[in-house]
Amino acid sequence: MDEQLDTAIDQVAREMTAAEPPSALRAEILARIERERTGRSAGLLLPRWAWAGGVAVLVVSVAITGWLARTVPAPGAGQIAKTDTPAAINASPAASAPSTPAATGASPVLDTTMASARAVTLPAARPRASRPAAVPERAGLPDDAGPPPLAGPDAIDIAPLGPAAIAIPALGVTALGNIEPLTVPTIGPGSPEPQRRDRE
Amino acid sequence: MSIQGVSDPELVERARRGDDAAFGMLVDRHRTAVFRAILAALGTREGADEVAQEAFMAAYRHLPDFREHASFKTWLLSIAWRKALSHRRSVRTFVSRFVQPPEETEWQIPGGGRSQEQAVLDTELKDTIRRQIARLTPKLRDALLLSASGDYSYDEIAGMLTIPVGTLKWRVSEARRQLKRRLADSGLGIRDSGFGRG
Repeated sequence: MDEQLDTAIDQVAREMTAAEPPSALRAEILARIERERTGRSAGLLLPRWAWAGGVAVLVVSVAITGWLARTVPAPGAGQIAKTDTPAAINASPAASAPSTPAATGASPVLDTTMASARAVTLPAARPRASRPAAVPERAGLPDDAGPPPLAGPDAIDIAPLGPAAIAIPALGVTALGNIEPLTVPTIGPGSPEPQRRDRE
Repeated sequence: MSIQGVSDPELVERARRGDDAAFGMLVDRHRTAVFRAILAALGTREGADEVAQEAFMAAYRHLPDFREHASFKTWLLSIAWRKALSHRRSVRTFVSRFVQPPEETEWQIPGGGRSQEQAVLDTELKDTIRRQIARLTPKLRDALLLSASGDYSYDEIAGMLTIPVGTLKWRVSEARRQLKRRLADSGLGIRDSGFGRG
């Protein structure tokens, strides 16, 4: 009985693994070896992670190049942003936020600031070094005028960059009469910030 | 020069030098043993072909690492066994087993050529044994199937499973003991089925 059971177990276990491999196994393996060898001879010796890393670096480089090309004006096609100037803001002191020229009554000006979304493309190139660092003011542009028909870089008036554009007379000056005297606490010799009040 | 009668170490040496025909001969010599070991681990033909290819390719790539003092068959079987275990533990295999329980779909055994009544009884007993083998723990089942296949020596199986021969023998014995107890509990008797006669 026990031997018969052992025989039955052996037979079933043997049948469970009694399968023949596919006849094409050798051919498929040799074909894969040949493909690997061809891949190596074609210069594909680098591992997959190296290829993936190279592709990733390439994609990032292309993305950065595209982003820079979009945000920084090319020397051949300068872009000048249109925004409010500090002068315009000072002309209407009540307005704390950037306001439109119509609301403030100030004339629109040209600016080289990159923050503005309204860009005006100049037809001609302007050297980057010659762009004004401060805010140039240009009067006479209509409020809703589209891209101004500027003939060239000379059309931009850089001269009004001086203090006149700040409109200082519009600022009110209040006399400092009733200022409470500052109470300065005694600062010990070990105080880490002895000049704190002065900085404030 | 023919390579039919060349020993495994000589074929390995030729394959290392780029002789694909020599490696092809090694594949022919050991493909059945490799395939059946993979089948014992997976329990199904599905994926066994792919794992067998992977095993031979891994062996080919690591031929320089093979040391001649070991048996090429044992070395190859250990590679195949690791590949099969890796496949068995893969997520894809786990999911497919979850969808289709293995004991219902795998290790289907063809019927014998006896009388209809005898064939029914045999089939019933075989199915019961097959189900009980499938329910063994993997360690016991692997040891039993590999030893019962007749394709491997105890040393080769122990090398595959990376266990001592004594441990292997204990596992085979324990697998048989558990199977007999479960078969007795199921009420299927050898005498009733006439299994093994005729």
